Amino acid sequence: MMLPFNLEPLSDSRYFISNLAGFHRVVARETLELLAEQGDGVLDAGIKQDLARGLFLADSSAGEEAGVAALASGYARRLTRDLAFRPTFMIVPTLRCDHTCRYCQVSRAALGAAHSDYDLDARRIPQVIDLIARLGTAPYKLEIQGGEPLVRFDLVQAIYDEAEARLGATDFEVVITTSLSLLDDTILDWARGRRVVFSTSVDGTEVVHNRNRILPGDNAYQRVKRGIRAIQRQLGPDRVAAVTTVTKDLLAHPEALIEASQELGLTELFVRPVSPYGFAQKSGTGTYSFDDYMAFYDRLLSLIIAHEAAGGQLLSEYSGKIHLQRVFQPDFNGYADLKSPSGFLLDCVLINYDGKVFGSDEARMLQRVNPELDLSCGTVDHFDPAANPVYHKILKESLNAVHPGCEQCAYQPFCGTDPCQGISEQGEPVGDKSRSAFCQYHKRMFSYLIDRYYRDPEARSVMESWCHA
Amino acid sequence: MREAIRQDVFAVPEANLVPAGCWVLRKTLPTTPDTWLNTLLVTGNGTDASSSNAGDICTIHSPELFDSIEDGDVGLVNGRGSVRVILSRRANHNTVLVTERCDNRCLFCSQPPKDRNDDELLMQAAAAIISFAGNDVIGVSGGEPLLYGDAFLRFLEIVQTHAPETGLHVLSNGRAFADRYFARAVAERLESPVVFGIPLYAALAEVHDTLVGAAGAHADTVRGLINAGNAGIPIELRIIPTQKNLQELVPLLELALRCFSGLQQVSVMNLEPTGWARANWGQLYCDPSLYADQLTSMVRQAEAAGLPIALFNYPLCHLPDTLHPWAVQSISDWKNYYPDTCSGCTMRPECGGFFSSSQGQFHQSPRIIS
Repeated sequence: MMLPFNLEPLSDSRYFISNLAGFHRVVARETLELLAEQGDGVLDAGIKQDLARGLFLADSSAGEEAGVAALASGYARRLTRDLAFRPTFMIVPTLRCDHTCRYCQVSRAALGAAHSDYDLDARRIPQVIDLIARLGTAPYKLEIQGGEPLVRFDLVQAIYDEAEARLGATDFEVVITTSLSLLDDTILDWARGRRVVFSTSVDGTEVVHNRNRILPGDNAYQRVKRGIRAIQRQLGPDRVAAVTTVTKDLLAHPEALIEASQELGLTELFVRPVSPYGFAQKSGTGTYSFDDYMAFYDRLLSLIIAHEAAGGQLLSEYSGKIHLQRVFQPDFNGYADLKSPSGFLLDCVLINYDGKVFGSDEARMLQRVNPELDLSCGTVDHFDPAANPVYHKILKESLNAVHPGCEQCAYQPFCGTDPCQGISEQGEPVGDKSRSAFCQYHKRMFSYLIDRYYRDPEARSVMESWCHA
Repeated sequence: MREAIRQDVFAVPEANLVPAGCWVLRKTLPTTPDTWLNTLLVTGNGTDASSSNAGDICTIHSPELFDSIEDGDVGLVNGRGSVRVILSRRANHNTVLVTERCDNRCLFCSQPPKDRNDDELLMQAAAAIISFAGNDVIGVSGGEPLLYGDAFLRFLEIVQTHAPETGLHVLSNGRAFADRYFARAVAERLESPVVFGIPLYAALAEVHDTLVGAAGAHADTVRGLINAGNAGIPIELRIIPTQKNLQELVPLLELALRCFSGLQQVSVMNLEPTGWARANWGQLYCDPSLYADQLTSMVRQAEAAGLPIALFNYPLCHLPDTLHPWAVQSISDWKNYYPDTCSGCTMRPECGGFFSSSQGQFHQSPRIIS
């Protein structure tokens, strides 16, 4: 007898099926047709056993009872895990930035704007770390965001010193999200003995990067290249990682990204479509379809496979890796977007330059664009998510198993929700999934990766190395 | 039997005069009598044996036994002239048997069940554990201990009240936990560290039911594992690879990782040539080299999920080097030995060796580790 499952078509008449406990199989269309029309008695014995092992079929009423209990228990485990409060603490020391990027993902302010309007008051730092100590547990993850945080390197240092004193010298790690344009020997010397890693952006080769990442009067690509090289040389290869925002300029040239990674000595790529936040929507640079994006991703993966086959070092791609880990690795929930309930607040507490606290990076961007709303969960000296009904609503409505459009999707157990993106696009957290950029992107990624994983042995072996690295 | 690392059975002719049962073994006369067990004074060479048979105290003379025990160990006297040291302060692991009845009939059962009433064993075991008063974990084995139902709850209460320092490791088929009220009742009584070792041999019901010789066992044990984990009972999941469940190993681990809570460890256990496993050896035993890939995949999956996994009863030379870090020295000393060929092996100090029952057709020779 059949136990409940969802299904989605892949290419060449195969289907991806999954159930609430997170088991999946790829089966032929005819198997599903036989099952639906004539029941499991007519299935090939091997197929039947394979489906029973994944709790898609049960062989008796006792087996059905145990199977339903196991599905329920598996679902409860996923919920419990995704409900855990294990936030990354993001701190925005300043909103000012030396770049004027065309699609700026984070809100920014001009470099010359008044410090008092856009910088964190240094006297607040003890309160910031106090809040982190109260809310988190070791090992604490701190992420310094911007603007460009190195505009106020003095505040970054002060935050680190306070964290060291309050959280314990080895109980935290700091990620500095920066364009590296301001990286100098002073900063490198400071970072050397400290638990600091740098996260930066590389959007392709020099031409593509500089077309979007504009550093007035200077060359953004040369700056980031110099910065990455200096960190690798002086601090070690593990101390810097780069993310790539795929712009229309890069879309036709995935090879530019491989080239850039070779030039910069980076072995992990992290590519993402232009986000619908901040100024990206307004500028028009981000306008391309998800079909175009997936065509780009397909070519990029083929280039990665060819690069390795030609004896090059294996390049991994982080977005693909986390989608695969969600499917193949039972306990994986390390990415805030791919969680249900969503990672909003549970995975992130963002302390803004003005002392306001938000449940995600997206929420503070949304706040900038919608000043009439209050999307904060209090201030650094009065953190109180319960006081803002928006927080209650967002968390309550972030379970994709009950979202229209998600409840029958076979990728639902592995996917998640992004309530802020829903609010940004459609004015409310759930939204119409047929118009949701989040759904279009993630569903395409899951479908593409699964299809290729089960169809292309070379791609499969590359994907497996990503996951096991 | 090959000579084991620690001898546990001693022939003491005069012990046939001692009533059968559990005795606390003393090397000197205690000032206060033991509350839980009668005292058996053991004398060796040069000990004064004059203080014999006063009150509840019996005395036997056995230099061999005297040299093998510590004061306060517990012995089982069979009334036919032999003493078995069941709880030993020198042992690497102690186990008490609480029943020989079982609702499974595992093809590889190391302690073939008997259907006679042996209810007296449960409270005898409680008295032995309390009298022994050790700080280590004591194994509680059967048969199926949970067949006692409510009596088992009382056993837990008594042992934990009177031997609070002693941890318990209960070996159970978990079927009784299919009743979630019983699972909750057990969970409510767990104070000192108690772990339940529960075996599941397949994701597929028919394979598990065949191996354990009981229809419906898989459904019970799966529900039992879910209920026990959700009630907060710490569980060690035990898996024995055989010829009949090789295809099940990886799906079984996925089932455990996705659906079971409360798992402390997964233990993959090489078959022990004891009991019924000897009769069924030809259709069960599988050379580990035939499922090394499955073991590797299991280890990788468990590690990725942060669940400890251990390989029990595998001589290191039967596993690929890459799996050595997960192999543990698991065989109890009274049934553990190293064949002569192992004497020159540099890995021997880290190796778990062989079961002393592993000989003749049941023995897989040591191999060169390349």
